[in-house]
Amino acid sequence: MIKADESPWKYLVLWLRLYFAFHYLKSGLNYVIFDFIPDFSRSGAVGPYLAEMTNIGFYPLVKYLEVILGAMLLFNFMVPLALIVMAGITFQIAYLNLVVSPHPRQKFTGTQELLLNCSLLLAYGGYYVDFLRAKVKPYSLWEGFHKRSSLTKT
Amino acid sequence: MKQVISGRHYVLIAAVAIVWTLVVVGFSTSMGERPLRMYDWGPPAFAGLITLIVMFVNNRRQK
Repeated sequence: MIKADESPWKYLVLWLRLYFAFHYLKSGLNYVIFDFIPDFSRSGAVGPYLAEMTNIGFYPLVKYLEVILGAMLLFNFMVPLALIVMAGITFQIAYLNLVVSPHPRQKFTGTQELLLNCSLLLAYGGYYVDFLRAKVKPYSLWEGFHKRSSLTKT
Repeated sequence: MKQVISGRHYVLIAAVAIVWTLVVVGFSTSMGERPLRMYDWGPPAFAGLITLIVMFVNNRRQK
């Protein structure tokens, strides 16, 4: 069985994590530091959607979120949580680039986002196993923390 | 548990990083129509470089 925490897989995962972190940081910081907003008039069918996102302030919000998520991945802080949030952004990017406006360059961008995010979700997938239970009873967040702290004390 | 990092592992990581960086360079320049920017090739290349450095440091610590 391939174990994600053994070499060379551990370092392949490290490369993926750092790559995705830098990918998000460069995109987010390009807006946060340089106020850079791409010219959406040349983005085909996606243009009006992205322009409206900017008008209502959602585009800047996503850019600041990209900086936070990229930093979380870079410093190995709550990576499973960051990857789940990133999956939402990835889905939007993939849908826009692969379905709405499938220019060859955008097809690559959308595919790359999916590959990076899904690979990392698999690599850290052990933490999501409990999400895959078919039938569950309510189990509050604080009960989970309490159970985890009891297990670590024994 | 001690994990052995062999030369093959360095080659694998370097190969993956280089190949993917070249793929990114190809698509980001739209096969030579657009200028090449560090914005595009930077993430996979620097991630590869840092990963190799981490592998080297970890290998030294285990010896």
